[in-house]
Amino acid sequence: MSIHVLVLALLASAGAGRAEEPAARPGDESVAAARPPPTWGLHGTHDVRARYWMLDARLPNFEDRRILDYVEIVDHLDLKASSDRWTAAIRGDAVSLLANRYVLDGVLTYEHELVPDTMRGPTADTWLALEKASLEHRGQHLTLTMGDRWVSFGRGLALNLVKNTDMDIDTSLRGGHASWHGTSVDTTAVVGVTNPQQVLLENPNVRLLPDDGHVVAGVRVERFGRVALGAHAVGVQFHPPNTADAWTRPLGARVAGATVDAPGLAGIDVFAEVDTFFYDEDAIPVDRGWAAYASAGAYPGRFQVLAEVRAAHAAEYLNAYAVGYELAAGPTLEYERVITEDSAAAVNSNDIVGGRLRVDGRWGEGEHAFLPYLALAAFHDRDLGGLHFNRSPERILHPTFGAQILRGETHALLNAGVRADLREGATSDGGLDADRMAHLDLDLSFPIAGAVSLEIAPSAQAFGWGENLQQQGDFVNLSNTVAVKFGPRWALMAYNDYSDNDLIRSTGNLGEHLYGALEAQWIPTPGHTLKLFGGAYRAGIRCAGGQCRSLPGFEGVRLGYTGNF
Amino acid sequence: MRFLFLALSLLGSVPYAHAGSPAPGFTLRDLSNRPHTLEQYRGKVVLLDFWATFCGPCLIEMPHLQKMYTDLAPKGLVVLGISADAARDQSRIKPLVAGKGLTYPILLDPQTTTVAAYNPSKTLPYSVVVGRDGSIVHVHAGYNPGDEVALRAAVEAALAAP
Repeated sequence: MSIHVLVLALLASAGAGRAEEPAARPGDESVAAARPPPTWGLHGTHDVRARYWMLDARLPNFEDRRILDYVEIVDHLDLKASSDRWTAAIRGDAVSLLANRYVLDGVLTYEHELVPDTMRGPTADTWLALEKASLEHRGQHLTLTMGDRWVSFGRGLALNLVKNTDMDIDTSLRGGHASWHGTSVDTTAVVGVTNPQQVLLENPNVRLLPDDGHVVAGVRVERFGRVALGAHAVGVQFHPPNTADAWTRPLGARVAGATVDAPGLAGIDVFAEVDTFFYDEDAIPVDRGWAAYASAGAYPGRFQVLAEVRAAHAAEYLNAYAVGYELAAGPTLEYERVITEDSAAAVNSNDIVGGRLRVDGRWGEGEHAFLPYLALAAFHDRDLGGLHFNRSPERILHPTFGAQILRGETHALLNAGVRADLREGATSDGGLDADRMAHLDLDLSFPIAGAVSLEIAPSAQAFGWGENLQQQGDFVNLSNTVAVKFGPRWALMAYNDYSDNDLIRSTGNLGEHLYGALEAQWIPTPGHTLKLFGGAYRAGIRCAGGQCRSLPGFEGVRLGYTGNF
Repeated sequence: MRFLFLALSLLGSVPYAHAGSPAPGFTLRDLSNRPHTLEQYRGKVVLLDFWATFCGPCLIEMPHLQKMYTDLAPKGLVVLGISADAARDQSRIKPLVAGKGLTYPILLDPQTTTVAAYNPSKTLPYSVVVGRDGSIVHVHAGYNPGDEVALRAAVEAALAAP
């Protein structure tokens, strides 16, 4: 608790130092514009979440349930001092669990061990760290960064260390970074150690993962013109030991790749990337792999056509040692909002080829438009290892369709589809062996009266299993959000979840499978947001940005504050 | 309770101080690979719209920004849409922009460093109005119906400033 009080007190004192400045209101901005040009500024973002977490989790293979009952407080504090040429930035993270310990027979016992023995926290249920730090100088052409920075090459197949806000994943490369932006040539060189974020902001922190410290070095050169040509190379030393041989033993993985980017060539945007992977780690069962991605976009009349293909063999082994994040994540061509435990395997497959064709149309203009689309994704997934439930290769078909409708302030977005993972071979009784899923999601928002508007967002998935190595039951997932927004300051939200999926380890607060929650949001001044949440949501696998994570369920009360200052 | 009290009292003590700060510089390429720097637009009012293909509210806001761009570009407004999509999603950006009929420049930030320089939380959409002198004069996070009215007022105030 004292850590959080200290952070808040520091923040309060920073604000007091600027007390002579009037708090800005909408319309005050022209005053700032009339001042002399500033030379530097200090600003920050403070995210605080306080969760009273009453976890009622289902234990696998037991009738009993695990019940946890404590308070969790999370701080993310970003501070940034910048001028037009320089930026210095730090981020501090803190998390602590309250009412999580008791004394039994004179022995202090932690009910929930947040900080594992391999990490150093003030206590077993408190963690405080300077998570990110960087200093950057931007010249006319050359940008130099020391410290933490995100980096990706090409379409991310060889290297993709970026922040994934949806998934609470933020892994940077801590080291040195140089970028040269010329008129026709861009060059990027990086070297550093991976620095994954430990503390989750939006999701309960169950057990922190230690920094895993893979050394990554890479360089990319791209020459721009009518056709842009790029080439890159990446070297990775997995978990380097603190011995001299860290510098003399072969790299654990090496990646070399090339890209071609031809926007508007004969009216078509073409992009292609090929990467080869070389491994020198005993635990990786192959010596080499490869990955390829290509896309072509065309715009005939009122239509937009995008065709994409991907193929990969043994490329995912690059991510084998990165726990909780991925060093590289290329396009998956999946509709990632409906990934299940089953289809997550295809996202991270080590042997897959496939493609997706999507056609969008447009009728109307600007704020009054109808934008429908049709898409078909098809894959041949030959990988049987990793997360796969299936016993034979699969051919996956996933047609989707949808539309966006804009009529002034009224907006509707619909997506629906069916997916079949067809096994190569019949079921034991000679039937069609396939996993099947139908899904639909809708987002509808419209004004009610004056500044009051309503948003409704229901979604549904129905999933049926084929024959699997370990048989599970079919399931249905339903969820709905109803939000009433009272102008720019207030919003009330109601959430409902239903799931009878045996694979998730949470139980509902309104019934075995039924979850409900309410949330209020208040924006007292621009840049400051308070949210109060009470209720429960279900556990489950979530995928975004090509990365999947199994997230715990939650039941309790959560207070969130985000402030820009 | 002590925490709640401190958090609430904090709201009154911390000014919203993005406004007045210098806008961090950047060099980003557009969908045709042409480089754009913030510096090249010095002397104009620049509206930076941070958005992404996966962000529903961003897609709703875009037609309003296009209208603002069409109306106010002759008075010195530049709109730059900065995509926060990761590198892996870049092929999807131009079809979406074409479908929306957007004519203002769309810049790519695949390493998300420019997005983070303005908005560490990466809330989307995120609108920043940069004045003619290169300082930030207005910031707005998120989009709700009607927000475009306040944003337009801020842009027009910046255009009217000396």
